[in-house]
Amino acid sequence: MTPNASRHPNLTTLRRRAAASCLVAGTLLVSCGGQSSGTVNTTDGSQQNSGGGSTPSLAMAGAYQGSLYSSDFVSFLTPELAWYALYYLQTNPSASIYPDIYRGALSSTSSTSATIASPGLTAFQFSTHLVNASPSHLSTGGGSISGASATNYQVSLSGITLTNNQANPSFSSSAITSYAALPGSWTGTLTDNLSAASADLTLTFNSAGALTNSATYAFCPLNLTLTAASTLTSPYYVARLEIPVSTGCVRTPPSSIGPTVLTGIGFIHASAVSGKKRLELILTDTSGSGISFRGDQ
Amino acid sequence: MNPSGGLFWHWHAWRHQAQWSATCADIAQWLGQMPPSKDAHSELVIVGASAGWMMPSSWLQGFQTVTTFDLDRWAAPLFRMRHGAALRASNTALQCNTADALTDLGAVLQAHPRALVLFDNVLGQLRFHTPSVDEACRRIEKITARMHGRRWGSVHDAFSGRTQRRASTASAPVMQRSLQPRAPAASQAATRPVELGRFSRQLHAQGEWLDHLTDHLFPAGTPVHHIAWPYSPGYCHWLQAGWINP
Repeated sequence: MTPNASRHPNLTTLRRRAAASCLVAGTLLVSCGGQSSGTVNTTDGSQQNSGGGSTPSLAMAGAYQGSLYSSDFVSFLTPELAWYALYYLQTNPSASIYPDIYRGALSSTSSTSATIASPGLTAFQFSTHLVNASPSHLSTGGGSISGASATNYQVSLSGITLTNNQANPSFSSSAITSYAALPGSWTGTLTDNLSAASADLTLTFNSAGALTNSATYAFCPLNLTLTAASTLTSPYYVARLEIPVSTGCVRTPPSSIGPTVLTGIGFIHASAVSGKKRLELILTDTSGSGISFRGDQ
Repeated sequence: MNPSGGLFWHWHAWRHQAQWSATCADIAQWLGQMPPSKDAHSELVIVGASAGWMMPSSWLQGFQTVTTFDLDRWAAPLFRMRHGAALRASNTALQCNTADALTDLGAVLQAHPRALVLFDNVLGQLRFHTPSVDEACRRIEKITARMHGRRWGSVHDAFSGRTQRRASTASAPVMQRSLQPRAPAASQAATRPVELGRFSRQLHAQGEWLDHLTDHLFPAGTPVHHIAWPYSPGYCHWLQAGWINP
């Protein structure tokens, strides 16, 4: 199910206005205003969307959801010119539970498009190559994101072959509403393509975005912190995961003397399960290898 | 190539689900006789889980947490694909790991101190993963010694080989039960109960069968189930299954 942005007229209007103001001013997509985010600090230390009090650096920034080969493709464009995506391919049953992780660094932008110059795009995929001993496959490429409207963008990836062997995918995604509603428990599944490990977990966050319960997958303890951030209309979270040196953890290299750090984002949107909200977490290391979590509340 | 797993195994298991239904029913009956948990939180660790092809989701649903280990890179996603929906429905948390739990058995047991541990058709495969028969026997002894004081069980190959007729569900003998005998002294020949002699005859074995070195895996007195597994036409496995409740 793809939540429709038109169900949230206020936010849609805000996003349209932001895009329109960029076009009128004739400025670049990334240069609408001089502030990096539209957030305000609250008394409890968390951040909330300022509701338009300041201007984001990237008007198209926000959460998007699309369908590619009938499978869910969620993505988030940050004001810091980073693009993160999860692809839950369902045509191959084994891959559907291990989403592919995409991360791109926007190299150039205009009022209606953004470019990820090759090799700025990384795809960390569950490999279905029958003779490949590793469950994961890391590749690089490029891409472009063009906004036909402020509530929809077209994504074209190059140099990337999807897990179902389709090369250079091109598809559209619709803007969806994201929420600043992190505190509490999120029950879902964490996956790591590096070892094909997966774990049903409950992650509980306090109002400061710190993980308050003990969570481990495949001998990898999770020290996770989410820091509230926001585009003009879309709250999200800057995520940092520290995995201490741990025997048996695939994220602890044999010669490692310090913790492994993965960074990325989290965002909350309407779940496909009626009445619930959904937390998506996308975390990668410097190479693009990473883990993801999708849980409902 | 993984001699006891890999994509060919999964394809074979998927193709033979119907032919193996009687074997699966026997295994399900044995699984249901697991030692009870004293904890409110019931946890199961499966070593060598593969995709759980031969165990029913309904049995797994009785646990609050199920943790699987298998070396095979396809095992974890296929286990989740096969049982994940049912386990979600029963609020059973599933953790799937691609790891060698036998090598790291100490760490696994430490991480899951109160879990029921099931060795799922893995201990009979050790002879394929060790350079010599003697070393495989020693490894099995080490593993079973390490399980001292724990609730655990194993279903594993005892023997396997060719059969005189095309193995099928119809021709396979029904499950037999026996008590694990004491290991014979060096000067004594091993003897088997009469009912197991009948069981082995009903397997219609042909030629020499492979000994999977699991004859003395269970402590003496352990109730052991003997299950025929018509693996493929003309080839059959003799499975043993037992639970240990200290």
